[in-house]
Amino acid sequence: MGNKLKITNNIRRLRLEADDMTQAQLAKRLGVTRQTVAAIEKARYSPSLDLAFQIADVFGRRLEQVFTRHD
Amino acid sequence: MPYAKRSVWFQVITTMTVYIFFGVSFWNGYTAGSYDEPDGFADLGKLLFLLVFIGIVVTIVVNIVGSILLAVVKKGRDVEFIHDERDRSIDFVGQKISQAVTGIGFVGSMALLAGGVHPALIFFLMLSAFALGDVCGNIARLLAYGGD
Repeated sequence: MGNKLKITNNIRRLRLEADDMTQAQLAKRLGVTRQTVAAIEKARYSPSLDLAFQIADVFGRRLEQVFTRHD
Repeated sequence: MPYAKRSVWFQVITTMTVYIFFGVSFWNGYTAGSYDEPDGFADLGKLLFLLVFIGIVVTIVVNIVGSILLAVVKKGRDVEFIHDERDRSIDFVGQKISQAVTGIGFVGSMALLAGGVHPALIFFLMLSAFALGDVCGNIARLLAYGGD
């Protein structure tokens, strides 16, 4: 209990695949700041479940296709 | 720079400005022996109300002037007013640190009061603890934002 799991993501790759979507464009669609998107991409901030699902929805992927948990 | 981080800088400037005004006013009164008079604490209370008023004015001025200056410097680009979940998460960390520092300052002040230090000085120390707690919490927020 209390072990912090490392969570990585494919957001940068998915952005590039989505017509080179910028961080600012993604941030606007999510209603967050560009800095928050940058922090999530670099795994410096773990988004809420709600935001994580929104990100997956933007790219039309399932949550586990965007975020990966490492034990 | 996100809006929330900008607000933290504005808060630091406001707190420091108001605290310096209070500190100088208090110290002038204290060294003049004003708080030894029978109605000395009433004067201290009035000073505190003045402080609240000054705090409101400085907050408004710093926010308006700061936002205008930033908009001019950035030429209207990248000036957003979003406060998202990461900002709230960082706010929470800042609040915890602020409360811890304020709490330590309060307990320390009570210990000094028990040790016989002048009550007016204790009053000053308690308000200093609030100001220090506020600044420490805001510094923690700025560190959490990093290079954003």
